[in-house]
Amino acid sequence: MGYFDDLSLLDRMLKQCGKCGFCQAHCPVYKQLFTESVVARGRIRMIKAVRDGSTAWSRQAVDRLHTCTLCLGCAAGCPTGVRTEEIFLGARAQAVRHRGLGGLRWLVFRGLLHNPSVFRALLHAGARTWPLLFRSGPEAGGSPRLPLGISMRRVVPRLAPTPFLKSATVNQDRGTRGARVLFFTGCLINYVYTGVGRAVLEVLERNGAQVLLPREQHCCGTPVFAYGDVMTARQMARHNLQVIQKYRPDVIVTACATCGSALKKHYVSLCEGGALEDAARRWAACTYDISEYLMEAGYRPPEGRIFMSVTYHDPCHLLRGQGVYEQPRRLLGGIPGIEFREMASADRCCGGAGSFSLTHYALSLAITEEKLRSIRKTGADAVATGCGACRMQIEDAAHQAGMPVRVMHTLELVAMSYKAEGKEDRGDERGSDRSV
Amino acid sequence: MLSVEALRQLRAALGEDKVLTDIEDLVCYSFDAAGGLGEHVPGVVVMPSTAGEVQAVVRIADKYSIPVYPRGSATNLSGGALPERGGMVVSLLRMNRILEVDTDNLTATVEPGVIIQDLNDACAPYGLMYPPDPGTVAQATMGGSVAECSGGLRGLKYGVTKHYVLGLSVVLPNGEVARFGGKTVKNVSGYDMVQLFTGSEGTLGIITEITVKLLPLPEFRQTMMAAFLNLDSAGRAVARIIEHRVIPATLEILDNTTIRAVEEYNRCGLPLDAAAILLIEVDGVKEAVEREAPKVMTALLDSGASFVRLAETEREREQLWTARRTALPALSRVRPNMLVEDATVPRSRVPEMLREIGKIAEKYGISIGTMGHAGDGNLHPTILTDISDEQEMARVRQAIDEIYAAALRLGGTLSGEHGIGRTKQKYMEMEFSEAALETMRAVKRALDPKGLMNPGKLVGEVK
Ligand SMILES: Cc1cc2nc3c(=O)[nH]c(=O)nc-3n(C[C@H](O)[C@H](O)[C@H](O)COP(=O)(O)OP(=O)(O)OC[C@H]3O[C@@H](n4cnc5c(N)ncnc54)[C@H](O)[C@@H]3O)c2cc1C
Ligand code: SF4
Ligand code: SF4
Repeated sequence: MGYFDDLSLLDRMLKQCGKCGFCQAHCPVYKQLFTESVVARGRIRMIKAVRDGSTAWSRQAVDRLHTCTLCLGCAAGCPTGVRTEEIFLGARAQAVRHRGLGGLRWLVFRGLLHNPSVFRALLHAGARTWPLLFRSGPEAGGSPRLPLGISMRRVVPRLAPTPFLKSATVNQDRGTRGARVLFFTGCLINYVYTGVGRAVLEVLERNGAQVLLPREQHCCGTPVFAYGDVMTARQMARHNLQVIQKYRPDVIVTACATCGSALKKHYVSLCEGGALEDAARRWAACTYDISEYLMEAGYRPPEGRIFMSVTYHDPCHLLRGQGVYEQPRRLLGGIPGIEFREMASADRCCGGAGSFSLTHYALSLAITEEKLRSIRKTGADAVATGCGACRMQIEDAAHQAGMPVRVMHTLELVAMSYKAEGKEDRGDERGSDRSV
Repeated sequence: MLSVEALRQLRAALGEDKVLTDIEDLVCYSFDAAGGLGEHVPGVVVMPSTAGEVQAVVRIADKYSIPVYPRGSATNLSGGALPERGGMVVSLLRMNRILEVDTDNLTATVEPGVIIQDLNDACAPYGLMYPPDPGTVAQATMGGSVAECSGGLRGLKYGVTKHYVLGLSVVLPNGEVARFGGKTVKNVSGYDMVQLFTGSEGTLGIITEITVKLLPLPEFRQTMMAAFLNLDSAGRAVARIIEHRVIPATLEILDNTTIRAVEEYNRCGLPLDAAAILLIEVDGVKEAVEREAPKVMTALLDSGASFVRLAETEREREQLWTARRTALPALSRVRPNMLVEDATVPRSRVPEMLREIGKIAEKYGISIGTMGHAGDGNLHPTILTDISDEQEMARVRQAIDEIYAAALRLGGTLSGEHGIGRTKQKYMEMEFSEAALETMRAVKRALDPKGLMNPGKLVGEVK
């Protein structure tokens, strides 16, 4: 039994906190609200209060549990090594067991995500209904026309007319001798940022990989277990692991920090003690972020010039979740013409954090403003990053702030450079980073 | 319990969102970083964002006789922020503006909730720094560190918080605001109330504005490390460095227990047989530093160091610092809990004190790792224990008693920088005469006749 289910493990982990307060310096939410209950030290104390019966999984307790971006800043800054992520996920799961999911979430998690084909059908239809629901805004997307439970100011990215997995074709001639690389796309690349999918495919193929693109792959399940719905998440993990088993790849790559963390870490915990535990462990060990994979397996540095200044934002789940720091920077540094400008506090959470940005819109935007300040100071033309959720958040905030900066996936820049090879200096190289 | 009327007035004065009454929030204010003192849930937490709001809540507290507990980041190690009688916690974190960095007078004026590191970040572009640097610089507040008179790693050369505080605004227990000191380094007008409030641990009033002195950032530094097979030669090295008339910015010592814990934690190649390691950093003008570093090296070798190292690059400097930086994390992983003590002795008695601590640990069969600021005699015997084990804790408490007795016997003091709070109160009579204690109580009584301002701390309950 892992931390999702094991209460005695939860209690043991809670005891490890020495109350030193070091986590305060690393918590983006605490830096906005300044209340102890939202920082690891306090939240741990609050969970203890629930465990010892001083309070229950009350509405307030659940609210404090979820006023957290799961950025892992606290874990990284904790001198004692308290496993805050596991504590918070375990506690959220426990809260759901006590209080249930609530109507809308029940519908989405149990009704949609539970069943891959229903989910796929709905999102395909969604691409058509999108203009009915959203006013079109910046090139990235639009804001809601109707109250959808989303802030009316929130810019929601446009769903791609055709999902990546439906339109993408693997080029059979290009890489038949290389490693069998399964590309796990995740939802944001499949349904929104399809250009990232194409870029990853392009780069992998140019480097001789045999790319496997299972269409039946499903959402990684992070939004579901992050809310505490372990039952549905387990179902989703099982589905994805079975798909992977079927294809028997040499490696799995992800281009989404969150999917990567799920495959590398959370699936193992979700499957602990179950029939798929060994499979989860085996495939976790073969999973790489795309930047990590290119650096480890070796790649041919692209030679096309791109005249852009670029900064990089570390997604929490890539840096602290997977320990990927150097690799994307080296990829960017290796592109001719790109002037790389490191921003201050590149490792600070952008405030996005999946549904946190919908449920705590103002708070999440306030956190993003700090990120925008760092970005603005670099004066860079573009911010590269490795996570769709971060990108969505930064794009939205930049739009609200009227900032012209472009947000891109690291791999899009790499792919752009490959494509520019042989062409003469194209001063204003603009990649097609989305499909519209 | 707080009366409904008092709560209503607090809400009226601050607005709903700055008054916390949900149990889910309140339990999070039931502790600070000191261990072993139990937990105390306050009746209400208020988060004023201006001095006027602080005044308003203090007046309400005065009217309804509610105990008031000022609180910064609650990282203090002496129980100073514990709301032992319930009452009202006043969190000052929302008063977090840096009001001014005055580059002509080399001062900065800040609100109490400013984090020390944030002040340093604001000063750095002007080539300035605020030197007091407790291990918690990145989270402790200016208000809390002034109230504790915090020290840090650079105390030997740069002094501690009280050497930098020039002016203060304080909301007194009766709700009035008083302003003391100013921007001038020289100021002898009246009693030195700035010094009285610095280190007052929130027992005399709530600090709402602080003016501190800044110094130019040192332009150059060199870092060295040495290991010693016995404590006396480490002590001799410290003495020799000072004899050479070098005052290092940092002169830290780690004992064998700490060395082993650090090595276990991150294998950085420390000699496990060493009785102590010294970490030394000299800083200042380049020419001066380049003259001082060789003198330190000579002193280390002459004192019988079993190995010495000088960092040639920034990377090597980082490596040498790793041992010190990871000492606490490393120790904290050995057992479930860690109690960091603060006994301080004259510099020349450091080896003796370390030996005493070793004997005490052995006598009570407990594990104590000691690190500390060898340069200023401020040691942190760190007891590794499990506070849920009552039997062991009984021995731990006896050991702590003996550690403080030993420090006083060697001519030292109870607290170098962590404050008296609750943890060290019972030893106060060992350090001070009745006349001295009564003087302190008289001050408390005069300023806080109702005994509502952080009651029970430092001087204890005063009737
Ligand atoms: C791992 C660790 C390492 C540490 N290292 C050091 C070190 O090297 N040197 C050192 O000196 N200390 C050290 N400390 C102790 C602590 O960090 C310092 O005392 C720190 O300055 C306290 O600041 P704070 O904001 O957390 O204050 P708090 O803990 O919130 O408060 C401290 C005291 O001040 C009072 N107070 C707070 N704000 C105000 C205000 N505005 N007006 C009046 N009273 C107020 C409180 O009531 C309390 O009595 C360490 C602590 C830890 C956990
Ligand atoms: S840093 Fe770790 S040990 Fe310290 S208070 Fe936070 S969670 Fe607890
Ligand atoms: S995960 Fe991030 S937001 Fe959540 S408590 Fe830790 S530092 Fe704060």
